[in-house]
Amino acid sequence: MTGVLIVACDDLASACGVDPNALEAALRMRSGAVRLRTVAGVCGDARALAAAVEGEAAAVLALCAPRLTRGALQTAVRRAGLDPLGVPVVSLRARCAPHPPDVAVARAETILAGAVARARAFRGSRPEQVRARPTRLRSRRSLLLADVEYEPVAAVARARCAAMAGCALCVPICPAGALVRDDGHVSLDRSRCDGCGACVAACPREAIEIPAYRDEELWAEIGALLAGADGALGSRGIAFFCRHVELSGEAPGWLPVVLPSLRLLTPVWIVRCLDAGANAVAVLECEICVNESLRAGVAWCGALLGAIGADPYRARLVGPSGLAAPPPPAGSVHRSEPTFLGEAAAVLSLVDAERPSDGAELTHPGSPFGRVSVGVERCTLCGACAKACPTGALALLETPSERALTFDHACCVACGSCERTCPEGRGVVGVVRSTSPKLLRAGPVALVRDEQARCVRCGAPIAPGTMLGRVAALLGKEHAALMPTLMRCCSTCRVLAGEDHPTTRTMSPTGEVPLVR
Amino acid sequence: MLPLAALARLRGRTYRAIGAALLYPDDRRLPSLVELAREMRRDRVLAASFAFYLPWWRCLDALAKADAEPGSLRSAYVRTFLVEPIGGPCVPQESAYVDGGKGMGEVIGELEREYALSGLTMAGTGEPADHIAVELDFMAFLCGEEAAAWGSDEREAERCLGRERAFLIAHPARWLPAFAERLGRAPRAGIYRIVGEAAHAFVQHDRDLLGLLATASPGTP
Repeated sequence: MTGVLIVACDDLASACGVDPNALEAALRMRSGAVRLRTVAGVCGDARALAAAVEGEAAAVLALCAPRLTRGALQTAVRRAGLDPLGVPVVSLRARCAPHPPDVAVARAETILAGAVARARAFRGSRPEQVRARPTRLRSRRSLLLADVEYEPVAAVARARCAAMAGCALCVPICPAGALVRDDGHVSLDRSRCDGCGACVAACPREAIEIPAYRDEELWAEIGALLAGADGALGSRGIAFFCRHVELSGEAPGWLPVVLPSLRLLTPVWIVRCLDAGANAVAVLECEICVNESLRAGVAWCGALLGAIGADPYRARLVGPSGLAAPPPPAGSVHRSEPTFLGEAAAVLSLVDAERPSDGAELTHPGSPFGRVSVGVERCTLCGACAKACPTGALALLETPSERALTFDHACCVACGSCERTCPEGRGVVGVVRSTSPKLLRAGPVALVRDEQARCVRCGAPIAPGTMLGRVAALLGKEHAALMPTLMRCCSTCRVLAGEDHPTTRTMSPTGEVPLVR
Repeated sequence: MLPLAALARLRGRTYRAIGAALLYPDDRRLPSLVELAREMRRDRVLAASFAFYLPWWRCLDALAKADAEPGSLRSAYVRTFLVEPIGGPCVPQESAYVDGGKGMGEVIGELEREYALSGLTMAGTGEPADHIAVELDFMAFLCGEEAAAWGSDEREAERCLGRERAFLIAHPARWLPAFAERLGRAPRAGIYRIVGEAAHAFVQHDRDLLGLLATASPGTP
């Protein structure tokens, strides 16, 4: 386990009401190899800060009231040999001071445990994931530049991106228009990206990431916040808020998780928190971040809770005063060691904890899952939808005797690519946003299946019967003579069989494209 | 507050050091490279203000000790840039990465014209105009011009910034990420992997910094 140094201001006791020795002892019990060092004036002294962190493998800055600019703070951390993005900065005064002493200590311990876990989980950043924030020359005459502040931005991992298969779900989502699809790839214009994370939430392949806000880094923090007994904190809830908003005043029981923007938040994160033992999850409204998609997602969480007989109020969007009341008392889920579950697993785990037998389907515009239906009588099993599906929710399975289109509800994000791609036109493939615990449990199920017609010469599969029927209908009476060969021979044998069937040598009326090669 | 002239000098020296580190480390070149790296470590306070600092420091640290085993350094150079059989050598030339490696003559011609506009010609040391060391040395030259201009002629300094930015975007920034990635995958590349990471980070962040300076508005004097 990586040792983590927590650097705190020596005002910790007076400004935040927290005894450093008691805090260090509690953190060691909870988070293992942790040291707490108090440094005089560290909140406003970059040199002291750099000297305190020098040579450490990981660090957390627990400042009572940071007086350094973010750029200066980053420089100090960098000078000490650490990546500033991997060093969480916790403002303990704002988080703890408004609370009674016993609660302040418990809050400091819990919040710092979250920051320690996040510092340990940090995987580093690549040059393309960091950008200098626009700044200005302070004085052209003296030729000085202010401290440069860096911020994380998104980066697309081409190896995981499904753009080559036609996926471009992230492109229209980006509020800054920073993503473009060009030459079969999605690329990001770093100068336009504001690091909000909307693309991260939209990508079904986890091909886009923002350093310090990766799933495992966020989860490490949330897991640590929810671990252990409630104690003086009482009922515990997770409060997600963005960098544009600051928590002020008392927020009893609410443990803050800061995101670059609420657009990074998917409804499944809320479910994960609830399943991991949070009594409630609040999303602090922000005029910049909250959009219809987020509103619908939070509403879906409430609807899911309602559908399984739990209190729908445990997941909600709140205004600035919404955190004044503590989270509702404990729900039926309480885990001493929260586990990070996949999307479907988290939903099922929550459903099982509340109402294990419930299999009712919930159709809701905010559902993160989609359900695909296919008109069996019109589907030819061509597989175009499976090819276009960016998540592999639809797959074409082929055996010598049968072809089947399968659907995995747990993988479907309701992107609608299948619906748009189907060559049979509207109405054959349909997608609705819906969550079905029964289907999530079932795994891949066959939506359509058909026997393969087989070649009479070599035995190879030709095509499913429905597809041959569709071809026959398209050819009509005019080319009916072709059908016996098409129905009986595979593409290879058709060429060989051409000697016996003069019609296969017929050219199209324009003479450009042979009907049968 | 960061003085722009000192920053230009730091950037120029970094370009020169990284470029020199990617040339064959012969008996004449290696001692001066090591000396340059040791001297540059004094710039750490200024460099720490920028995101390239961590890979930059690792690179200087490695270069400062590069004379400890010159034999193994030369072996790593030959293995990595000349003869590594698995996956091919990491060619340190722009032509190998842009336009699918087809426009070799065009790229070299374009670069020679660019150098000539600044009154420079190839020194005849054997490296082609699109070699990473030559491109970065040209960046170092432009940074030197900029550093000299900040004290006397601000407009000229701003013009220099514009030329640096244009050259960086048109050439090193275009292919260095791919080169660094290939270097990162090269087996037994040793110190050259660290140099590649530093080159990638430095060029990426310098491009950002130049963009920042280009758009920065003058404040109250």
